[in-house]
Amino acid sequence: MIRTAKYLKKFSALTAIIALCSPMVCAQDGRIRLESLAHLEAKASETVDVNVESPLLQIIPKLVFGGQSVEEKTMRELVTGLKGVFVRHYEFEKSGEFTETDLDTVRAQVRSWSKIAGIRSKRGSETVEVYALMDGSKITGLLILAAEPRQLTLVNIVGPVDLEKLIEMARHFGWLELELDKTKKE
Amino acid sequence: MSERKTVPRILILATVIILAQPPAFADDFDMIVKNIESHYRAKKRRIPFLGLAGFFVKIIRPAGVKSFKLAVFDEQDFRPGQRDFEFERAVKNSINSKKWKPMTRAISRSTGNRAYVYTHQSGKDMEMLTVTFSNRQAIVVQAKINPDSMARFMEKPEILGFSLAGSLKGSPSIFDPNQSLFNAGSSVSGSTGDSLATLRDENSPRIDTDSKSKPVLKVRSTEDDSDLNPVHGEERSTAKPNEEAIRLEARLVNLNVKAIDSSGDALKNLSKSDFRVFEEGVEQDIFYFEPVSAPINLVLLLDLSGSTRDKRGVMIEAAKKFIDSLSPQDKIAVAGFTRSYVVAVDFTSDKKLLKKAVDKMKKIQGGTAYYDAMWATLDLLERVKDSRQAIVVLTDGVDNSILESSYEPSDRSFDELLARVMESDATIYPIYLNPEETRLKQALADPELSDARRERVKRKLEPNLIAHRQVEQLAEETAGTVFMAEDESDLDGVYQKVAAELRLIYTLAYAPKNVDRDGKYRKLSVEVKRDRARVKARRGYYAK
Repeated sequence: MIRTAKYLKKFSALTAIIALCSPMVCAQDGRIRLESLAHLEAKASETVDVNVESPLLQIIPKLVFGGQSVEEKTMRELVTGLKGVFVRHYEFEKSGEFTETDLDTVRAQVRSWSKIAGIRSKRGSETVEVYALMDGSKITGLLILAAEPRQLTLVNIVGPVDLEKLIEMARHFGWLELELDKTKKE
Repeated sequence: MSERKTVPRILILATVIILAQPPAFADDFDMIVKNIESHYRAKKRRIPFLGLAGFFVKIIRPAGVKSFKLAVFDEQDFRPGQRDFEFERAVKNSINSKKWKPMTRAISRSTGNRAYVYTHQSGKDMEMLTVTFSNRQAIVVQAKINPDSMARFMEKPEILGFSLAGSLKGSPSIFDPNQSLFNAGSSVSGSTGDSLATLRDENSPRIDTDSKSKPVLKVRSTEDDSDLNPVHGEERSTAKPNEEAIRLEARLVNLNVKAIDSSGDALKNLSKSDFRVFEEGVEQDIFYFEPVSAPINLVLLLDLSGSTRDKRGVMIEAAKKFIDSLSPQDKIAVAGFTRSYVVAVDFTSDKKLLKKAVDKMKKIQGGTAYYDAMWATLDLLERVKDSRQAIVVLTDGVDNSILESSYEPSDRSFDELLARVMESDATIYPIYLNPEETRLKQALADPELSDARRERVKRKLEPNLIAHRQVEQLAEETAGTVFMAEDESDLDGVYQKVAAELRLIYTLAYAPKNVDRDGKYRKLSVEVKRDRARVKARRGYYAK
């Protein structure tokens, strides 16, 4: 009985450690826990969750580009090795529905990551932050956080990311069309 | 305490827990269907020969679909609310999470549309389990698809009776690069050539007024199982072999319909079964129905030509009140035109944004390319998948083409515009504001007017009368109504009448029994099964 109690104690302690460290563990794996934002759904007028994990990810290039195009090849190379792409997107009828605290729960998970870009509009109402999890010179996880007063988008890419190819794809889709005249780099 | 006693206790407890589980479902598809039935108190529509269709799909594998299951719940209340959370929770708790991975979940409270997509890799095949809700309909589809063919499916999702690319009307698609969630905005280039350019909504598409687009009958696929109904089997026979051995697609004709009783009062509580639609005298099966309360997609098009500049202040205020009086779920775009055309705000329910755009129109002026502006507005509506479409256009209708040849005319002729309008789903509500016509008519009524002067007045009146007739024609052909505003002070009241009129429109759709695309004009008539009821609907369409 005493032995069982000891095991139980050890098990509880282990569980507690895992629970406490889970955000860190996830973040070190490149995967960000976004559950803390779930409460925003009740306030949002539009909500989109996308979770594309390997192996579905591997057929995405074919789905998006169809045949053997150059873009399909580039995208195939981009997603090779990726473990998943996760998106949360919320749109609100009015501003102030999400707070800095909400964003901080996400930022806390990437504290040890490198912030590779931070763009803030002059009035500070629009921000884009890009964080990368580095393994030597390689990126093994990416978080893009884009916030506007009435819109919040988070994109989490898990796995080795070829930034050059990502930019190429981003350019293809027009993801880089930021209004740079209105923004300044931090 | 001995471990001998503990083990049986744990086993008993485990057995009790297992027995206490909710009843098992045949599979996850069945579980979702049952949950829709219980949470929304909905009844599944019986789809004739669905089992047979499934059998053929297994054998023929159209578009790489190896098997499918389909459940349709229509004309029931699926408006978003607390039930969604309960439904989601129930599904989340019951679904085989080892098998199904949630891929997409998209919820739009403004339109009421919701979509849930689960995927599962089954060897080389991909299984998809999709649940889509609109305010009045729910569809559950489970399909096993070959990934190579899935690419084709993504390009043409209607083959499975639902649309990922457009399931959330107006929402971006995760697979459509042009409407990607990540797309920073449609590229807008060029200038309209006058101060109108300053109004352009940077996120709105550039409408090419020289567009050569030829509208075709819209493919409405999300709502029905007509594609599986053998009544229309002859449509499938036209499909290409292999790719579409069974054509799971139906071309639907959309109709916006207004029904009134003998005293002229609108009939607002009709259901699908109250309507009968005839094409060339042959009764058609109505597959799709939306009640008068359903949201509408509306373009408010304002004539900003020089002739309206003096009245602009009142015009703007009246237009803003009109926007306020529309339903919160309606999607509205605001466009203006002179010789050029600009979309000031693309489709949105954000009334503040819309009114701000209208406000900016105060000082604009230029020529009048009315036909081209209407053409561009039809282009704008082409992007809207929902067939509940309307154009409210405030104009004097006098296109430069009608005036002296020295004025730069529209690129499109009125006849071209009329032909296109007849093929469009949009209902047109012109607000005809032409004080000059009234003034000239009054002048002609003066018995003391000299002959020479009378001739001059007549010449001046002529283009106004042509414009008036044309405005009426556009409304008539689309089952719309012309609203007359004697002068700008009438606008407030007129706009309120338009807003009320928009709430009287039912939307019906049917798959023509005559499947020939012979380009010929087909006469349409709609009846309501009520004594002495009268119906206003478009008169026909070209079967292209």
